[in-house]
Amino acid sequence: MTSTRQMIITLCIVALTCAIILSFVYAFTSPRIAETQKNLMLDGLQEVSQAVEFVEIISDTLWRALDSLKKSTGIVFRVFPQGYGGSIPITVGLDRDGRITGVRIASAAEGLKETPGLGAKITEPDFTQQFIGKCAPEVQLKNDGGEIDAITAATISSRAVTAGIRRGIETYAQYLGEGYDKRDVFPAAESFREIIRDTLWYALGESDTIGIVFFGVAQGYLDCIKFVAGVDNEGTITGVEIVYSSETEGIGEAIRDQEFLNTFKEGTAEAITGATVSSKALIDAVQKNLQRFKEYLK
Amino acid sequence: MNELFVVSASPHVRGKMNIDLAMRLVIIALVPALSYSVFLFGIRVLIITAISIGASVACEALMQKMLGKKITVTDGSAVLTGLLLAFNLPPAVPLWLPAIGSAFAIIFAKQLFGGLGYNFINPALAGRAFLMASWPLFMTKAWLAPANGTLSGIDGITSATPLSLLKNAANYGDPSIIVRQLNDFDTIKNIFFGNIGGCIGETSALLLLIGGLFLIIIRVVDYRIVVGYLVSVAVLVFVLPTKGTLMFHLFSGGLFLGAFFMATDWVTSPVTHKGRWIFGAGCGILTIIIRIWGGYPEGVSYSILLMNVFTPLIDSLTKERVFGELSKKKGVKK
Amino acid sequence: MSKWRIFTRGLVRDNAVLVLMIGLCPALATSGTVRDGFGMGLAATFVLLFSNLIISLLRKNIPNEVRIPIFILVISTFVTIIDYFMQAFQPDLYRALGVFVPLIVVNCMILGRAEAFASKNSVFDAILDGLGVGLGFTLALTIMGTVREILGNGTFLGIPVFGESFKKSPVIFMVLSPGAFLIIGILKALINKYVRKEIR
Repeated sequence: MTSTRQMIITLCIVALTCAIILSFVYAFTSPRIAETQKNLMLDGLQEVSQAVEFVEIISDTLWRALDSLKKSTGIVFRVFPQGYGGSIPITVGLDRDGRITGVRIASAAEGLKETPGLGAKITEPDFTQQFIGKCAPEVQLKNDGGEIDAITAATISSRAVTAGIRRGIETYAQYLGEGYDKRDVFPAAESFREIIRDTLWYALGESDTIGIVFFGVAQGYLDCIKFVAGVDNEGTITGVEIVYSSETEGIGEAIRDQEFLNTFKEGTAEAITGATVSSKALIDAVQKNLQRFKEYLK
Repeated sequence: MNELFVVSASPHVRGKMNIDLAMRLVIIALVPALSYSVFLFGIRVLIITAISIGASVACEALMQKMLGKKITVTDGSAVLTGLLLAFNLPPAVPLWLPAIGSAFAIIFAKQLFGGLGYNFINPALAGRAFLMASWPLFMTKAWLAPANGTLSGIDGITSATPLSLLKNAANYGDPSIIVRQLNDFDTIKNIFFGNIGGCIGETSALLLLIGGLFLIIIRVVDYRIVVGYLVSVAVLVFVLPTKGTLMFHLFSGGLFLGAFFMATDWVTSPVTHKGRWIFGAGCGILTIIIRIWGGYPEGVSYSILLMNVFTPLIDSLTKERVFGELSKKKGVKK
Repeated sequence: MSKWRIFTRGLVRDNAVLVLMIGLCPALATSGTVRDGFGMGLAATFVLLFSNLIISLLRKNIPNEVRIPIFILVISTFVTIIDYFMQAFQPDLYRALGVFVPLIVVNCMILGRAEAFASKNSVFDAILDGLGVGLGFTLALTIMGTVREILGNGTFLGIPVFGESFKKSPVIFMVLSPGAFLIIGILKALINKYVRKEIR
């Protein structure tokens, strides 16, 4: 029979030794673990986007994608729509126009619970490649009026993916706006200072404020159009750029036309035939925002 | 030597029925449904059935030879397994599928457990479950439209069987209209006569009913399981929230095939009378639960498999008291 | 018992998974591919080897009443070590094995060897025993992984075998748990027939 004191002492010694050993192992491996985890994350993100750097906006959910010149190329986000067997982890890349640059769906080893051989086929390139280049309204199954072929006999999983991606785009597209280069619409400025978060900036010259840049939203034909515009102190528009639009291809798309956007600078902007709704909405919204922020002009 | 008396354990009085005869009678009872299926889906049905039976018999002979047993393929049980498996396959499956399914059914579900009389689950259904898990695409999509109707039994919808249409009506149009169409008298008539798509042997409720009643009358099949199964389905259709009517649920899918020909398998169903009622009712309850809340449109095969597993338990719980044995409550005082 | 016998016993004759049928949970869950099965096997072997070594070293100093907590402490220390190292150097494997790496702690095979063998035998014997049982576990998982990956996924170590058409529609049954049970059953039957002839 061992005494209680001896038991306690032995247990304490063993536990202490184990703890010391583990603390050394932890100290040795933890930097490496952090690094591999970062690389894994980066690899995952680069599978859906061409960017070289990703800045986290919402933890584990949303990143801004930056190219080698630190210019935004779009965003990457993750969504978890409910599929047939459980939630489906999807990573989606968007370019600055809101078009999909890549889709990656986690494999069974990473937590996908769809039926092997049926729903699990959503991870295969044959399915995910279809999304590249599409924008929100096209991301629907062909049965539902979109452009995506469902996996045979796995309509529920396929529809969950399209719905999840579409909802993701709708939720996160607003963040596309923060990635634009304000210098595009105000080339004369040296730097910018934010006045209203994500909405209004002073354009700073060498010593003084020389104008403003603002971010606005117009209600287009299909979806909202997000734009950014610069105005100098005289009230002249220095430039307008479309940040996000999913207007009808070929028609509403005309508002992206540089020639049309340039007419803002000359103050002669007029609705484009064939894209009246979209272009008129944009012109109105630029004017309305200009009125709203006029007081900030020196 | 012929005058020697045979001394053996009971039973001493034997009926005329034996395994060979019973198997042949079941096969005969299935022939009308098979013939009609050939008419509906073409000669391909016959090829699939032949492959399935051939593989089944070949595997049985091979396994019995390898295990050093007497080769008993002439008793017809392997033929019946192959035939029932073919009945459970969609008509457009690739031709290697029945062969693999039969091989699994005979080798793993039957012979490795000791052969006829020792298998704990219905081999044909085990083969089907194996194929379902391995090639779900073929097993859920390889349908053919019947020669004289549409796959779904209603005009205009050609890509789903009635049960999967009922389950996922919203995928094919306005659900309320589709459900009404499905429960229409014309549709029910199509389902009853078998002018719809489905697995090879399950489409015609009428012919299966005739074959099944024949087997019940000649006492090859026990009516208790069949009645327990069908009545529990009928009761649950009334009690539970389902979109299909009573007629729809009784005639569609593989219910008659399962109730008359597979749940009643001698080896894998209980031997006691009370146990057979419980077994049949259990099959019915599981079938309706799967049809209403499950992931699959049809639940007959899985419900029978699940109840097969419960068979020994049901048997031991419903064991009749041996004549003279005292009930447990009274006991014997020492 | 000869040293050689101590080592080989755990390999086949008393194989943990295939004969004693212990440690089945990780065996079912991580033998879907060769890489996962082999990786899981080696991780368990590492833990088994070192826990046997340490427990055998301490066997005279461990009070009988608290031996189980001490075994668990030692085992979980080595499990945590392998967990950290795998996260750092084999992140893909770590992700595939998931929760089953930390669960090695409660693998009854390891605690069983500590209790039944290491705490009663010399250090050298304990090492041989740990290696034998661990490699037997690895062997079982690798064979299961090979069969399941080839039949159920159409690949071996990720390389397609039997061509692309087989890879498109493999025997999915085999990658599901019933497939693992089927293989365990077949391997057990083979061992009973050819190795453990005396039980017939």
